[in-house]
Amino acid sequence: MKRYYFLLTVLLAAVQLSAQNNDTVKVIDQPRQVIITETPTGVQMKVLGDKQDDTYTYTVQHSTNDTVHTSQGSDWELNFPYNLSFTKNKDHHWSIIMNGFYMGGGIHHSWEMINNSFEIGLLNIAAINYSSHHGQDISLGVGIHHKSFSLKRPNMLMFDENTNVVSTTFYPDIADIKERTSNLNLWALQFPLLFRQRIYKTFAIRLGGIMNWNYKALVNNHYIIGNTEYSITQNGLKQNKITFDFIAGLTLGHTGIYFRYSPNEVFKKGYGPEIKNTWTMGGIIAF
Amino acid sequence: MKRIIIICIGLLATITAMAQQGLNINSLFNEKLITDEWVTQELNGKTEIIVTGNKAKELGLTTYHSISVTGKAKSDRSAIERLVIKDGSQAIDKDVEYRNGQLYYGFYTLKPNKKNKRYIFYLNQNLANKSPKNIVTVIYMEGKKSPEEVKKLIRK
Repeated sequence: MKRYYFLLTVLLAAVQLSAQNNDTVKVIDQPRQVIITETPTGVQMKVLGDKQDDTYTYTVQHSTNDTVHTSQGSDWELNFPYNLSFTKNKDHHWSIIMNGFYMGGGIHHSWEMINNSFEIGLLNIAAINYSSHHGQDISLGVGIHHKSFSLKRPNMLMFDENTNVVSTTFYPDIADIKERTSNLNLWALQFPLLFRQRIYKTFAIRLGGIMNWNYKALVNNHYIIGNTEYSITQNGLKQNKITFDFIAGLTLGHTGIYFRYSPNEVFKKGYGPEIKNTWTMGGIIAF
Repeated sequence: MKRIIIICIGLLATITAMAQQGLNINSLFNEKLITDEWVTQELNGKTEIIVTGNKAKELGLTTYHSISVTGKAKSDRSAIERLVIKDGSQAIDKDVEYRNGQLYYGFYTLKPNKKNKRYIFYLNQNLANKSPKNIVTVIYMEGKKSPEEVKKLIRK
């Protein structure tokens, strides 16, 4: 029996010791302020600041139903990892830009004699650009444009320097003639008025109208007979000096695709074949 | 030609849909601002910062989108708090602190998308013990970083 009393005593002592070890001891060094609030329903003690952190808080609340609630924390000193100093100010602003190097090929020609067409240019050698803070840009600039039409074989373009009329005929049927090409080459200064709307991140859509000042046009016929190469170029063609195009493009980052529609006739009426309503499609950089 | 136009319209619709993330806090952000790798805008007491692409990768994130609202009425701050708490209710992990019955800060780990972990952080500096300021900040972040690493990133 004594043994049982002894065991019980040891067990009780162990339980008591264990209970003592479970006590929460909270030490707050040098608190800045201690606020004790007594209410009919309980007591709340709030400690503000400690030795190391002035923003530290510790709250303990003892309610009449004998429950204790504690909470602690300190102020969150927010750090913006992306410092404002390196970010660009994307607020609305004006700027001078140069952009829009493009190359493309014809996808539709109203004149059936055309085999294909190629164009290359820079939309804006210089442009004044307005950027809104909603991802929109509008620009008016000046650029350069070159376009070349090649004819289906064995057709060739003929330019009559007396009447200034461009007409088509067939290459002469010579036995050893080869590499027959006939091209119409056009150069223009272009004045694009372009609107761009960024859709998502760097994805953007651009639409615009372009006025062309067509300052040069020439016909080139190139062929080889035997071992002799011929390249005959004629200029002074009567082209429409002012024409208008429409352009639309989709870009992702600095590259994209574009479509260009040229509704106006290349030649003045009666001075050449009716080349109009042409569509081109191509790639563009820094659009 | 028609086919190309249809493809382009389809592409546009898909990309626009990708921008919708289905979070309540999206209504706080100006989605139209997501135009470049990094954008800062200060307008009507709201400072919004968006960092994506290579700039975001510098700190191991893919998207960083923060908005700090200054000087708004308590009701406006509560509205922001409610949006955050709504999104926080869907979180897979959260670390929050309430002061005076209001959310002081909340760090929510959302369900990850295909490649990235997603986090929302909220801070009401009006409830700070030291130097309270009338600023509420919400940050949405995506990236490979763990919650602890992200917390380090946004805490001094």
